Amino acid sequence: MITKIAIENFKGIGERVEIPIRPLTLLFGPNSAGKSSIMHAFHYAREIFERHNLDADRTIAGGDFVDLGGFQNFVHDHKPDNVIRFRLDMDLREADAPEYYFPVATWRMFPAWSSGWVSVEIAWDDLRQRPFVKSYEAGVNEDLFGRITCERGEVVISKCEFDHPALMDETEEDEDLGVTPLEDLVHELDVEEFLAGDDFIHLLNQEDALPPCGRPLTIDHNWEAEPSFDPEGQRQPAGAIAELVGGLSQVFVGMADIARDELRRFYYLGPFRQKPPRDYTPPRFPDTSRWATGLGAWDVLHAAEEKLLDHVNLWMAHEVGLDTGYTLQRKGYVLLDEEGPLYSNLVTYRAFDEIEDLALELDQQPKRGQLVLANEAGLLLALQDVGEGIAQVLPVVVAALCPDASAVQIEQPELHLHPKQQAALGDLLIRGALGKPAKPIIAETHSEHLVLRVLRRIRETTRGDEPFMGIPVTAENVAVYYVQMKVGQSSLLSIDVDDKGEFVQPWPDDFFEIDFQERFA
Amino acid sequence: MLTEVALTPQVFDPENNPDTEPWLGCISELGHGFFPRGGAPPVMVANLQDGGWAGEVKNAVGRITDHRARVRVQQLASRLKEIVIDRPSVNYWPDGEEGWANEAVASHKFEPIGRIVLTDGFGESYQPSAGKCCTLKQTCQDTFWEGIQSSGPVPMNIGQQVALLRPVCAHAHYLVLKLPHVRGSRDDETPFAAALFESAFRRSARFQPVQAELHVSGEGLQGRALTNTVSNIHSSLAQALPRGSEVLLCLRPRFIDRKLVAGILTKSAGQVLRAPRWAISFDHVARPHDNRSDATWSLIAPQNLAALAKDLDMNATSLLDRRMLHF
Repeated sequence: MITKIAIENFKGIGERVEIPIRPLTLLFGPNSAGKSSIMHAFHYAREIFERHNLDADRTIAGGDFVDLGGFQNFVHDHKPDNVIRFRLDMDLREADAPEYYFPVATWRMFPAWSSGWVSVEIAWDDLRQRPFVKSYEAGVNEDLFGRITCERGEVVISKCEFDHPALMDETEEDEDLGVTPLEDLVHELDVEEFLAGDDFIHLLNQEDALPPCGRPLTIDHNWEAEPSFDPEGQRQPAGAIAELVGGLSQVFVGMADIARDELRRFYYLGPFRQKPPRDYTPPRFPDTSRWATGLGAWDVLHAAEEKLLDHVNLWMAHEVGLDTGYTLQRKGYVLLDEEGPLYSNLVTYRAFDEIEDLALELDQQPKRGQLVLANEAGLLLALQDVGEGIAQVLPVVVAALCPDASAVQIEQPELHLHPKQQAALGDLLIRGALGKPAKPIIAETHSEHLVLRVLRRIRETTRGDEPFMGIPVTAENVAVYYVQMKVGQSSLLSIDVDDKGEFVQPWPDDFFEIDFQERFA
Repeated sequence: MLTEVALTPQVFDPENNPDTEPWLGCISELGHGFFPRGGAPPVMVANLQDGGWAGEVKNAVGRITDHRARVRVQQLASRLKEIVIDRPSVNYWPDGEEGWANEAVASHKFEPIGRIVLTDGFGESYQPSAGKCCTLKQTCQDTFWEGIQSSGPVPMNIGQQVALLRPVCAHAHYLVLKLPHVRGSRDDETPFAAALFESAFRRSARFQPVQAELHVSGEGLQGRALTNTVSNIHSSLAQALPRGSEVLLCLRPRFIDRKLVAGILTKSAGQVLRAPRWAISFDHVARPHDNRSDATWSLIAPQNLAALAKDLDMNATSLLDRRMLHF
């Protein structure tokens, strides 16, 4: 799980900003202050780790909705000399061990890792007229493990903490000596010989400092000497090198892989959700980029288990939920050719003479599924025939309840909603962020009603009231950030929430005072 | 400057204010005065009976059936939580407006309250034993608001200046004073700091103890100079402060502004956090031998408090040094 992102020189963000991600993270602030830049930073990070797409315009996560316009457009101040920096911190306690990529590294390093991070620097290459990853760092449990740098086309591991405490093999006897297996290996291989007098480990087969996701590093070595064998004489030279490569890859590549996998499952719901067309057909293969326009929600609902549909309907229709008065129904239709024999047999009743054949025939006809809305009177309506608020909120409900996402980003979840429903959205986001399955939700919003509901739930939890939906909410579960533009730069102010469900710092603008000032003016 | 105001819960109760129009007029006046647009609220509102007052106000607002009146009063009541400060209970739970008025007066004897506001019907016949009581309709008169302002001139006298800051000194759970010229001398700003902290530490045992922090310019102070300066500041403050008190001294890179930031302590997820509530910007503070005639002080608007508090964070990496001074 991604627990923090740090951003520098990306879009409106100049100086480094760090954004710790809580289960529910709410971004507030004036228009064009940089809230979306934070959302887009995740998209760009995914492009970097998944596709090595450093000059991104369209992104997988942003789909048709986001166009970053390329490096020279999104680098801060449009100055190519600026270096974009990202750092992603991750909670690894429930992450899959990356060592399956590199089975040659047999030491059990991963259990000691509770957190990790990756950091990249993206700069503009004047010669090749394109951006490149100038530096890549991987860290374990807060501390740096190593750095890969790329200078004039040369890619080297310029720093590596072979004695990183998180690499200590708890199963080995060397633990008592305070020597990590990697340190042991380097010692065994006689690293000076290994590196042929160079200070750095040179890497091959990679374009820049970003390690190749999913495959081990390739080390350019000049090693011919016999290694010193361990007392049992079991280790072979080639095996020792492979083990070193595996160990380095396990951290450098493994950490990038975890970041990539996390970012892949970030669902982004843009600020305008499209209605699916009347003849909508879901794509055969899931496409997360369709979430940006909200269509991903319809795709999920088409294929979803009944349980998800029931949950969505509960939130849509129940009075303690959004109380929209509408529920979704999944209808299946068989398409018949009006000119075909089956149709003509059916309208003339002849088909019913051979009822078993009829069933078989019908089963072979093309079918179509359709999602329709049923109002409280039971009337079925297409989405085009109901209010805009319903079309806007339904993808939000699905995103919050969908079990596939590792995290959800939503812009303007309250769009077109009545104030009472905006308050209920607060509960929905709590359900998504803290219910089961839980996933962090990052929402950019202007809704006072939404945040007031969240604060109320914190207050109720502290007071010991029966938690709404059985989900207690504490101040620790919620992060509120105020994004503001100052002297052409986006800056971030953290607004803490206390156990009484009150903001600790006064709100930096008139956000909660507009009503008052209008009424008392 | 800041003034503390106590209102009986009946001020918000429709049953005690039968003439709706004048009542709503006064409520609007209080709204304007308490929350000036774009400025800092120049009042604190006494949450009497350990905060029980706020619950009574909520109940009173709940009794308003007239929609227009309810919206207006509710708006004011909901914003009051930004400026209330808890006062420990003195009497038993008050019964009726007289009980609340007596509670306010009794509490005033422990720590002065600037104004005590009563309903018109009750206030005209109430004979307080102490305190400055007035009726709701008097809040519409200019005399009520005299001295209640977000900024203005203050006399260059340490005693008078510190008296103006008494509401903050009495109620803040923490105080951060930032002054550039504090070296422990009798001629610099040290006596003002000493007097201010003395006022803050001089509070009834019923009130929460205060944490005090003094930020001074420490540019160029190293080695013996640093030790001597810290020692001088300690000696000067020791003359004024009670035994057992503590002040955290923070040395910062050179600065020229003077500020006081104060607030309350609150808990969040097991951590104690500082919630800034009041901040004052001083162009000057009085020194024992000062030739200036006056200074101008301004309350800092709430929207700037978060950034200011962040700037004055005692754990900021920009600090040159910090020492806890024990007395």
